[in-house]
Amino acid sequence: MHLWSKKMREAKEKSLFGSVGSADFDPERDLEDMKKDIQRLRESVHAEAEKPEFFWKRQHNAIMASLNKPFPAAKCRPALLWAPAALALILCLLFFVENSKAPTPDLAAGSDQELLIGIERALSRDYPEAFAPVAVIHSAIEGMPDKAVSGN
Amino acid sequence: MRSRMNEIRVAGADMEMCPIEQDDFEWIVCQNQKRIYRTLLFLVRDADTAETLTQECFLRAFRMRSDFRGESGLTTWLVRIAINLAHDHNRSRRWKFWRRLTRTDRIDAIGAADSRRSPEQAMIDGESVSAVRSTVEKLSERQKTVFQLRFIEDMQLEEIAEAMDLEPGTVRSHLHRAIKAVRKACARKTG
Repeated sequence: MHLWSKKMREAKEKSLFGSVGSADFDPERDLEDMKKDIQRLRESVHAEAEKPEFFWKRQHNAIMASLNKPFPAAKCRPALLWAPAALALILCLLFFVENSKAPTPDLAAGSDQELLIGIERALSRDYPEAFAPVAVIHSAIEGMPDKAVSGN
Repeated sequence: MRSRMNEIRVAGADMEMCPIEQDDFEWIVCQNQKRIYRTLLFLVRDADTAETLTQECFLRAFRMRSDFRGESGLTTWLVRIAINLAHDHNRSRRWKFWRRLTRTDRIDAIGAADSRRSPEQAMIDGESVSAVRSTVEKLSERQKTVFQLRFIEDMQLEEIAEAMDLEPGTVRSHLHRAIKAVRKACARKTG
């Protein structure tokens, strides 16, 4: 039953599309049924491309005029196309090279920074920098009675 | 000039090199411009573009005239240049968008200009032509070109193979697929 329906379908397709897939297939053998349609299409395309005589004359003149023109533009076209691309590439490379360079320390800016930090530290201190060791001893002495008390 | 063109044709048959002179070109343009325009019009579906590409085709042929070795016919060589131009043009996305927008209108307009048939017949013919053409329009670029060169331009399979730089077997295969698709569309229309 299944085989029968398959065979029927194949026969139907064959009648519709011709012998599809055979090696010696002649694409134009079974064109009888389509000849009229194709002929109409052919007539339609030919009619569509039909133009008055002045159209052909104008086109002919335009073609002949363009043939007589020198065409240096075509010769330098590849160079013109590549030039902006090459320029862009060079600019990109320069940009990347510039960006990838290690940042050099700005000595002047660094010394200013150090000076500002020094001033800030000096202002925040209760004593001059020269008395710093004495201040350490003083704070140590001041902390001792507490420790002694806590030790007792 | 005629005798010169005969020389070119004979050279084509004998596979000998016979360079085209500048003076020959006027005659070449006269003989082939209608065919080239028609081929391009069918492939690009736009009259202005077809006109521009026709000029470009002859200009390119003129510039490349030293490459013409006479291995194929002069017309086949020109058709080959035209096909390449049309394919390059159709590949451009910019134009594809506009073609898609305007295609339906153009297909509807086909056949309307033919006043020789009665309005009823013209309508029936117009429908059938539209069905065939819209199917052909949907084919791949190669199938469409093969179909056109075979049935619209009446070129032989060997000539089509030369014009499209394909093997004759490949041309036959493309034509087979194109016919199959058109037949399917015709059957759908009548059935």
